[in-house]
Amino acid sequence: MMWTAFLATWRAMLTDKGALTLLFVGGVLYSFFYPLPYSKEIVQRVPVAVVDQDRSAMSRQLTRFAMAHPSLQVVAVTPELPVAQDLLWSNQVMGVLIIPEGLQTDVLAGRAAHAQVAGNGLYLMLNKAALNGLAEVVGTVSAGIELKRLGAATPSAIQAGQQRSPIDFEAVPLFNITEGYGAYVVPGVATLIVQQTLLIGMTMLFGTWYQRKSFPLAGPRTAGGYLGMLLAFASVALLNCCYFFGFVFWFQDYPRGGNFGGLLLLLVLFALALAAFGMLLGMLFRTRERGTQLMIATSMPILFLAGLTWPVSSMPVVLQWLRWLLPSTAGIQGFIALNQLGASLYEIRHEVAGLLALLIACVALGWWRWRRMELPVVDLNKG
Amino acid sequence: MIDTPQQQAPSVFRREWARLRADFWDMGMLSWIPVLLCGILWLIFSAGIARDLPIAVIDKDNSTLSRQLTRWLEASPGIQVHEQVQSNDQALQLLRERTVFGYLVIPDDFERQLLGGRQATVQWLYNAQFSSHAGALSRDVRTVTTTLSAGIEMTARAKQGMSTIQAAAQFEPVRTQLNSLYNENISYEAFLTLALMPSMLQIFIVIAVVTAIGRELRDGTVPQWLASAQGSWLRAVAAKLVFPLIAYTLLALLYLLFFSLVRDWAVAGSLVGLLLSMLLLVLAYCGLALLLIAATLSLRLSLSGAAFITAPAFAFAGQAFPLMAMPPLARAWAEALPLTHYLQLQTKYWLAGAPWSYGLQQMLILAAFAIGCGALGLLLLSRRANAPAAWGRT
Repeated sequence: MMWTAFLATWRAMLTDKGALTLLFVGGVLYSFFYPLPYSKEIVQRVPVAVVDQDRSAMSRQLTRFAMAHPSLQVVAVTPELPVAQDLLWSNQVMGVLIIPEGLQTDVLAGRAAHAQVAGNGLYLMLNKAALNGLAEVVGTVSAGIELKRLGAATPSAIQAGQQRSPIDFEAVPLFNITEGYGAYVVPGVATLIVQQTLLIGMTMLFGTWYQRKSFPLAGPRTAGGYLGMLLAFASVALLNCCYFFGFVFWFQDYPRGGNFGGLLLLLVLFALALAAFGMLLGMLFRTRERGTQLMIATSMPILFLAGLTWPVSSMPVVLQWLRWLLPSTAGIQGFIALNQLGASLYEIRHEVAGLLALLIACVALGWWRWRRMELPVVDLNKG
Repeated sequence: MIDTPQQQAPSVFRREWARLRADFWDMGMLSWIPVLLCGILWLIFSAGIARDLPIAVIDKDNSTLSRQLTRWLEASPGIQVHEQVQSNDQALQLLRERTVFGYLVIPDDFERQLLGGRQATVQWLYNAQFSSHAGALSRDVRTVTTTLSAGIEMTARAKQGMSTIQAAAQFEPVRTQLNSLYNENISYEAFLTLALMPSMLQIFIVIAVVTAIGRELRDGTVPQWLASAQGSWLRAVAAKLVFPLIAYTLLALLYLLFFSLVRDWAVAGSLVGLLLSMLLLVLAYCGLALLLIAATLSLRLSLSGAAFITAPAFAFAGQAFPLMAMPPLARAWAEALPLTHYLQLQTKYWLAGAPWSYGLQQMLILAAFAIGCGALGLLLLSRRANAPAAWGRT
């Protein structure tokens, strides 16, 4: 019974053009489409403006250093502040270095001088790149002046440098060592794509079966039938996950971990929980298109709830708990931990427990609904 | 007496309204469902700034200075020292568990080196896979360390006989004042949530329009639909667009009112410009959706098309990942999305405080989308939709 149901479900998926597209073509399409904007991974040469109100040798040195900085592109040098404002509003620059009048005089007189560095805070990545680059420019010029002064009082240049900055701060990125944006966001989205395409495909199938009063399984609703169908849908999730974690991560050259046994366990658990969740959801739908219609817009909130792009600890407590009701929450965190961080099974125990609990709950509720499903009028197998 | 067609058939607008009222979910898609999902998005990021992100510390020195560094880290609002551990292995395990997102290693000769006037190196290792967590933490950890470093340097100078003021001016001749314009605290509410609202809106607009027209095609009720519009395609399509247009313009106003009045993100630039941009966004997506259903003539296909175009649109729109860093193909796709142009308008007018003239180009582009796609969609639909061959496609 179970294998009959398994095969009948597969036949139903393959013979429905809409479901076929969603379950097997959608993922492949998205796997090339979604990483596309991030293929260069990092921001290079942020356009900036220099507002030089000092017009001194020192301000010209600052401008030259800004022009030479590899992550900046100086598109305008002007003494007028309104010109910089205009460039900012028309998105032609993302950062501004303001050198106030009297800067050189202050420095030569031994007074503290200030240069202002501003970035457009509404574009986070560009803001960061502009601020870091311009701050480095000012820092380099400032350090040069200071080292000359210290050099006059200390025996060696090395010693002068050590005095200038007693604590050396060394930042070391781990796991996503090139700090690429695609490598950061696409692995999480991969799991989301597997989930959303499967759920939309399943609600389409269940809706169609209800609408057309047909069901791929003959006879009464047995446990074997439920299990067979569950395994059929879970196998689709498994295939899509393998495609993403095997082919796409390799093709895009994203970091991958080596815990194969752990990955296999989480894959099976995620696929089963997702299929059980999808069956429970699918049995609520009455028309073919309703699931697609209702579920396209859920992808964004579901992704952010996973806690990849925004810390879970900063979400309201209610959401911190409710988010576990979605298979993707444990899926995204668990697969990233295994694939990108190289975690052990123990280190993803929360995710494993979460998926197990969700699987049990969804199977229990799903089985209860399954037995109450209306009997089919037409049997596709005999049709 | 013979009834005129006007009296026989209900007006096309009343027909559409009756259909919507009879359909709980379609009505929900115009009202409470988008409000609910946008509400959840706002809730997720409602803290605005992530605070107390957990880190670990390996203090190999255990001296007065190293303990001071740890205390200062703990006092920083962005950082929570979750645990002091003994080894790299322990710290890495906490990282892989995602219990902490970075750890600081203080070397065993930390205090001795510093008191001897030499340099000591602290290492900050962080989980770069969780980029936004790590980004905020790295900034804060670096700030704390630099502050301590500056303090030590000042003390050393004071010992050499300089006055405090003299020492301060000496040790950094040109100071840098860093400003993030328009969003001083780097709030995610300003940078992300405000941009996510129209990104949700465009998904709902396209779905609502293709559903309204697509179901007539699916059910083969095009003749009745057209008859109720007295044979005018313009009127027939207008009846399909008017309810989404009203509903989503109101929703746009709702998020504008909520974020500007309740959440205090006042409109710093041209309010008229912002309002006009919102209207143009809704119109542009109505036009795009009309073209989509007219080109496919299938509800299912145009819903799949909607999923492909609108669901990943935010990734292409240049708000999170900049347009200038995209390869040409992605850039071209981004420019073909009305959302990309709208988000630039919203950013300028709402928080950057730009006068209306700075958005003229983008507004014209949005208007061109609305008119171009809308006219082409109307033409295609009027040529192709009233034929039995176009009906019943699933």
